[in-house]
Amino acid sequence: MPIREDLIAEIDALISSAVSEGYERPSDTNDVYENYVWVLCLLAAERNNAAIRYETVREASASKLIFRTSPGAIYTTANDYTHAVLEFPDCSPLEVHVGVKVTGISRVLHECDVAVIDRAEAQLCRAEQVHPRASKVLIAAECKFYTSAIQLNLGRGFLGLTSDIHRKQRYFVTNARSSGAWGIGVVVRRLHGRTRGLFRRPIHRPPVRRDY
Amino acid sequence: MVSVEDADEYRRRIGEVLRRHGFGWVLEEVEAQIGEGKPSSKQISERYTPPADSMFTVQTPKRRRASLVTSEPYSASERLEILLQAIRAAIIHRSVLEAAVLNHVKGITEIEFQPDASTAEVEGTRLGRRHTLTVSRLDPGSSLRHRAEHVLAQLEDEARADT
Repeated sequence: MPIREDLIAEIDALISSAVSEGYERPSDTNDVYENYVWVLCLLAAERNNAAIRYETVREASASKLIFRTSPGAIYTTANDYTHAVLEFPDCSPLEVHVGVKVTGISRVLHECDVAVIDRAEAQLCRAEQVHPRASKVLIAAECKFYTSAIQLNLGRGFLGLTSDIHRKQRYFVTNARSSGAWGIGVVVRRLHGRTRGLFRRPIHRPPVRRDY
Repeated sequence: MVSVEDADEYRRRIGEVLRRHGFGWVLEEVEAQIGEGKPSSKQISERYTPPADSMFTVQTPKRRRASLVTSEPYSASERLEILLQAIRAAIIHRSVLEAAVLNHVKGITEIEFQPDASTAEVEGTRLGRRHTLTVSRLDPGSSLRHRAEHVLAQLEDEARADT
């Protein structure tokens, strides 16, 4: 039976339209995927009665969101990068960042695609131009958007990372189907389920010194 | 099932389309998965080699069954389905993600992705390039998603069709 040429023509037209929308760059899709996981964190916080606002590096209110295309320093002012501020009743506030570097136990810098950080630590880091300590990163997510099954080396790399940035609330989040990773729907449930208790727990910190 | 020749021909032709439009990375990810093979369980009987002993006769234990993992090659129609799933991810998932993000951040009409360096320095590097996500993308994204659902469903039917 010959193949259907009309279907090949339809696929051709479809892919051509996808190019017009800028879907052909894998790095762009990865950026959107990280942004999606950032939104999942906000959704989880919202379900736990958090007030959410968007802020720039200079702690001004953000009306346009700007995110990094690769991990950078939390204190960089090259662009007015956005983070979300989460305020819970009776809890210390938190911040949700995309693509920031954090310091591991070994004092080596690691990259977190999405990170929920104690706000006091984030403010201290911005003021002092230093990277957050992994111990102050409450949730870290490594995000991988793949069109096929993810490769073993990615999981192996993540396991190595968690040995230096603590193991609790560290997630390998992927859209790809694989026996050891979670699909999109499962990630939503797990992230919501696992963060519920965390967001309810009060975090008491002394007020941070503000020099700016 | 579609014949091996037809499945391979569909895969070759769709691969050409993807490569021509700059989606070669999708093919690379597909080929990596196909190259790994399909993990499956295999029931085997454990083998026991008695130690060489001239003084005693060692009784051979009863052979035990064990389930081990093996890798099998994907069939031609499975290879085609992996490719179609990859296109689904590259187009449909991408569009769903964009809509999910834009629909959640109320009051925000534009999201910008900026490299942490000047654009001239980062073109072609892993630092990514500047791009934006605006609400004006929602409608074209939705239309693209529906078209993709339609054509991929037909191709999936072809992949499963009897010869």
